[in-house]
Amino acid sequence: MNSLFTRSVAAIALLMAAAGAQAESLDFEVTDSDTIVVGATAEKVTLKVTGFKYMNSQSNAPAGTQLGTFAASTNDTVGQIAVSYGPEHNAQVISGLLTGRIDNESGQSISTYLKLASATVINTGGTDWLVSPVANKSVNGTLVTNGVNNLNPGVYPVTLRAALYLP
Amino acid sequence: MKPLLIRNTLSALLLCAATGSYAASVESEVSATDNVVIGAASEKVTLRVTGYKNLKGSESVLGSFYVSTTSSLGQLVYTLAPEHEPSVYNTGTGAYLIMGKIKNEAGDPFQIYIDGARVVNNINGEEWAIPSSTTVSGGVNKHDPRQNIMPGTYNIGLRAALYQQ
Repeated sequence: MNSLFTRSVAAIALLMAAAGAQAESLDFEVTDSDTIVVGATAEKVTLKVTGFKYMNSQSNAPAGTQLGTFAASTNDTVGQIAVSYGPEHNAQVISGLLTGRIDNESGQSISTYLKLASATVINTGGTDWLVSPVANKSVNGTLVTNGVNNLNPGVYPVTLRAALYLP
Repeated sequence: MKPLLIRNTLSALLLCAATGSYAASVESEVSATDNVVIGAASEKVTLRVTGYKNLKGSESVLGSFYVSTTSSLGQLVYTLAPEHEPSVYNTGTGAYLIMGKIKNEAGDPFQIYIDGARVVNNINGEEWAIPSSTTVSGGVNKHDPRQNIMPGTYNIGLRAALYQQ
């Protein structure tokens, strides 16, 4: 009986030690950022990205299904607004479209491209950009599916970049 | 006359070559992120950061943030992005806040803190603010409100997550 008691205590102690050894976890982490602008320094480029929420999952969603929007603007008179994907989206030009892959937390992907009227694809510094005409100081575009895609359930982060292109 | 013509032609050619050697460039780059959410999987944590624009430098609040969760499975936590070198600020009134540094394009540092919670925990080696509710609207504040912030553009980034023990 004493031996059984000892074993039980030891088992409980081991169980507690094991439980205590489990690392605390941080899940579903998100990040967001913006700029604080002080003084006469004007922000030369602004960018806002909006991913659509509560979309229905869908097999074989048609090409061009809208997944989000983006808006960029500048107060610079010389440069042209240029937009591209964040590096994690592995952007590449396919059939004249600036495409990028977005992934959910399960690793499922959707092939997308950036749709921006009157823009042309330009490679500078090794990065492909969609560049708007110099007259367009405020542009609105969409993130759409590139070809037929399965829209699997999940959260797909999208990071875009905007800059001034000086030819 | 002929040597003058040759010199002029050469000058023009050199000018053309010099002009042609200017490389196209991209400047003033910014980035922005959001989520596309498909199906029943809902966004567990929402975070929005807004930096105030056209500040004079004397204002004590430089921006705001909103963080919320729809999940009851973990504790909502938030902190500054790593580039701000987040640390703990003891207010001396029983509250602990996350403080850090922001920098403009000239590299001028400025100390800030974010509010919205009074408790900070070290989780896996990082300091996180622990709010008492599932929705927080907070401010990005000057650590010393009497100090003017230098002109420039300062990036401000936050992280939020669900903490499970």
